[in-house]
Amino acid sequence: MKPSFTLYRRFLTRYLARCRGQVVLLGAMLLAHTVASVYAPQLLRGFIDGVMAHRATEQLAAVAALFLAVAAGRQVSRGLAAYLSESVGWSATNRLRSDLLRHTLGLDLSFINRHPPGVMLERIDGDSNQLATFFSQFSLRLLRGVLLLAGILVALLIEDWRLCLALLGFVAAVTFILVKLRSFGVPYHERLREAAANLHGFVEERLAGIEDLKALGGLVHALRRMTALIAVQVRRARRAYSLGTLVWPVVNVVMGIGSGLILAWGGVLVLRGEMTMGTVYLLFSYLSLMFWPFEDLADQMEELQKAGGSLVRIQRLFDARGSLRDGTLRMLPPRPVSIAFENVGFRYPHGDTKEEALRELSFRIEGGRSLGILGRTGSGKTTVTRLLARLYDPGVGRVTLNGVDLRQYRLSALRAGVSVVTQEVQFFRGSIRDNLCLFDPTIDDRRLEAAFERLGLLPWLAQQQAGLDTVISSAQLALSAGEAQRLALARAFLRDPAVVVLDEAAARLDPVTEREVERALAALLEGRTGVVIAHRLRSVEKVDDILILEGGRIAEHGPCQALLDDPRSLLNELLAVGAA
Amino acid sequence: MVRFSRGLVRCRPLLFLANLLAWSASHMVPLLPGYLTKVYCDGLAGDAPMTIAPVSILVLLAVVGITHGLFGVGAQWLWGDLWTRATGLVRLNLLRLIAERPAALATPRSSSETVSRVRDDVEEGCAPLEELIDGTGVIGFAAGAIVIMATIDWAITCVVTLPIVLSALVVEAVRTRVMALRRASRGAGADVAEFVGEVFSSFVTFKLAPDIDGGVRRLERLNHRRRRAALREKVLAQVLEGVSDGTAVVCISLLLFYLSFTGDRGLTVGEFVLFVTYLDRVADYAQWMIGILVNVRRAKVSVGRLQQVVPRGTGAAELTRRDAVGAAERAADPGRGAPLERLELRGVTYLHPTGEGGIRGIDLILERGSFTVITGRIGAGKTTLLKVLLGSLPLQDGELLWNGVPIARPDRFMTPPRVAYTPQIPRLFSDTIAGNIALGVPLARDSLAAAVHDAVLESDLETMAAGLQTRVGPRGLRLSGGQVQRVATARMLARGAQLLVIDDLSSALDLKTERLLWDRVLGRMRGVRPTCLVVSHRRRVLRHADRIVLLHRGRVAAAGSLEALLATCAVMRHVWQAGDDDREAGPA
Repeated sequence: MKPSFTLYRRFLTRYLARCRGQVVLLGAMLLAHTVASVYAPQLLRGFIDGVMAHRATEQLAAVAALFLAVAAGRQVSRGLAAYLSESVGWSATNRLRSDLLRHTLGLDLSFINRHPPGVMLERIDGDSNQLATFFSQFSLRLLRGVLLLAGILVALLIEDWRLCLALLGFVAAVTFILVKLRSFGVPYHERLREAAANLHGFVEERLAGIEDLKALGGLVHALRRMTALIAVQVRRARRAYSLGTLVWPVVNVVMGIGSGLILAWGGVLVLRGEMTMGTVYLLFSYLSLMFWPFEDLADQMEELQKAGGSLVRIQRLFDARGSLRDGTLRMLPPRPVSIAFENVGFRYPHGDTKEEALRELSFRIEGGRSLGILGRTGSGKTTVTRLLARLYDPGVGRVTLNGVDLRQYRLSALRAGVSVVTQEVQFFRGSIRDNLCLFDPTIDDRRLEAAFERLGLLPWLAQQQAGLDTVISSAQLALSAGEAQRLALARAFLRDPAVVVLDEAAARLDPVTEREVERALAALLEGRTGVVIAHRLRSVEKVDDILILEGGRIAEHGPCQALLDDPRSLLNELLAVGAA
Repeated sequence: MVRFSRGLVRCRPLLFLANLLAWSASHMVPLLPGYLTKVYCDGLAGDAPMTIAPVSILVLLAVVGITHGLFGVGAQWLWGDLWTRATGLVRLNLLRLIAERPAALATPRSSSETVSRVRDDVEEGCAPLEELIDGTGVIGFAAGAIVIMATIDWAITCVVTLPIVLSALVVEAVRTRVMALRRASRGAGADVAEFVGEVFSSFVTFKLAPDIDGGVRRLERLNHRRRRAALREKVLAQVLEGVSDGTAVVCISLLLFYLSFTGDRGLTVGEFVLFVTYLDRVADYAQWMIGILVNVRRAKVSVGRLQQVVPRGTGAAELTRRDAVGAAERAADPGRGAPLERLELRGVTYLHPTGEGGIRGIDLILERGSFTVITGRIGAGKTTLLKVLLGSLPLQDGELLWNGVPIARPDRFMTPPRVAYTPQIPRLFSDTIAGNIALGVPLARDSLAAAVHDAVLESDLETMAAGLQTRVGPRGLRLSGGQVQRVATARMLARGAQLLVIDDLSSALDLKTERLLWDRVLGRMRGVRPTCLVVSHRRRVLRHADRIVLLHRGRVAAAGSLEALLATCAVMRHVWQAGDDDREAGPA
């Protein structure tokens, strides 16, 4: 896909609007630079003609002094423009990064599952960095180049309209060639960046799994595969650097011919006495002055190509629509909240499984009751929690809270009202506070400490060197699986949810700790509607109802006690297996 | 730094030489039109006989331009090749060297932070390669220009060379400042990259946050810091650029003042044009030279950042080692070692740097074919013990003996075909299920099938359209937790190792599946019994153990048979009582 002009314009206007003041100042500096650049060769022309006409020393010295002043002004405006453009570039792309992060956080899981973190990093930060270079360099060099070309044309118009016309034709021809070359080069660069993203995605995954890789002897093979990925990058780089970057060599050819033409034509006129040597110099120096804008343009075409590739990928990311659409209801219904699955069918988008994860699933949990879900791995237990948390929307049927479709709630309200503790506990590098509050400033330390207390984590917290400010991370060993699990529980209960969903929440605890946590859990489930998935039968014993899934369908559903009393129930069969 | 740059050059010496020649030629071509113009102008102005006619100058300049353009395309092609190869080699070596560290400590902050070093610091660290090539061309042009100008007027030429010398001096003077600003801005950049990476590594957590803007606000703060750091750097860069350009302006002005007094006795028109043309270019090149020097300083910062993530004391030359894969291959194979008779741990100690947790003075003996279970409460040090045994964590004190022979590098020795492992939370890679099981080792079809069967994966594979060729998604995200655990078990079983180390299989499996899995794994032991070391608190597993080791606060609290421990040890009874998850009576 080729980036369209509208795409560029939309991005420029959208992300430059914020820093309007700086942009205006930048424009002023660029103008000043143009005027000084165009005026300085005029002074030199006067100087050459003056020397040849044997003018007085004072007159020549005055021209020299003026030249010094103009050239100094050119340097100052140039430096300021560079600073401003850098500043604008960062301001604009920082906003872009935030928008991208916000957008991707709104996508459903199927998108993320297809893109490793390394690739996402490359999309959000790598491509934005490319655009940052583009924003700052574009304004600085491309604009500076265009202004300089325009300034030279105006100066020549004053000199001789025929000259101006000839140069205009020249500029038009060169620009045409450059634009043609630009679209020729884009795909080469896009393919190169794709190769880089694959390489870094590969490295990120291998680093994240380095313990497994090493202990199982997979390192050498990983290095071999990386070598193959690099070889692909080399092949694409050769093409992108040469065929994708024809602009710069072409400018050199064009400038060679152009300066030859000017000198030859000017020479003929000088020999005829129709032009002074100073004017020949002026034309020649204007042409070499144009060399830099053209070379800048050529360079920037290259950047523009890279940026074009980045822009396309960023736009694709913005275009990626998770099926989730935000609802309008700001508040969850009053507690207790009842949950119902009505004829729900679901198939994972882009999934590899042939079958539907859930089929015609209907059940109801009355407000304040808790439901334990059992079933083999892959029977659809986790899918139920994902639909309930609205990480996906059901393909058929609907999920309701107090009879209202989940899709009608605002996601923020839903997330505050329905807390989910997932199978895999995820922490990122940051303080304990940030990991629990997820940067929500409305949660104060007192609430945090209360949550710690309920889960029996206060003694653990007291051991941490910096208390809530202690930095933990996914890679940190200081956090055992059990502690991580309890922290995840604390995170869930911080917000006093109306519905609690626990997916194998106690799986990684040792029996003793598990009992402690279970006591806390029981208290926390009180007055809330709960869904508990656990392989340990003991943890579902305390729930009110039991649902046993098999292949995405209900195999058994009923009050826990009734099922326990029925000797032929599936539940008792499962318990018998456990006891064997 | 010098050794690193030399390594970059040596990784492809001929390719480097080709680049050097192509780029030097490309940089020095502009000398020609300048000189031709001078001769032409002198002829026009009547200062010298007219040796170049107007038509000739047109042809000459056009030919020079076309040659320059063709050179350019070739040079770019060569550069794309060299640059990607060199950075690729450094990245390859980085992965190899990072893997040399104790694996559990390999990415001290997070894997995404380390990736940002692999991505950006390699790019910046390899800059000397570009600067060597460009620098040679730039110096070549400057030298040529100076020689030509000196033949015209050596006194003026002396003044002209001033900007280059001066700018180099200024850069030298502010060197530490350049490096400090660079470090700050690279650090701020890495923070942003790390945060974004972390958000996507724990995506569901951020997605489930009621306040999605929280993460965005954090990013904004980090972005703001990076912007400030980048601008500080820019200011300094502009000041340096101003120095060089300013000096050039002053030089041309001096030339003008000089000519104001001498008139055309000083220089001919052609000579004047040549001086001004070359001067402009020399000023630009001086600026380029500054860029080169600054980039080299920055590269030093980046190479330093790379050395922080590889094992301490690794020479810079290791980063550019040509046969990275071969080196890893040799390192990974410390000889087969005799078949396991007896593995002994003596006084094994590892304390976490945070000061809590860890293990202290662990003694343990595993006889061939035995089944040993490690149990204990959370934080007792069970996983730490396994990681030290496997070399994922460094041995701070004590030793490991394989048949009585000390193991020098557990991380290299405790690997297949001797040892295989399933961690508590396995990591899979973006690949097929088969690829994840094989990890690149060619497996016989029946050993793969046996591993799949014993790991109870068959019924899952049946529901998947592509079977073993199903892609698991990044980090195995497309599979359920239980499936990940069982793929990891198959991965371990497929290695045919003598010693199996298993860290708590139960965490993501339902009871029925776990039972089947244990039955099959234990069933394997009918043939050549592999030795097993297992962390678990499941009664089934405990009951099967030849020997149970109860860890408490990092030490062995008790060891022996289940009956003996239950009879004598209160902590063990506590664990056993609490572990009645499968509703069993006590030991029969």
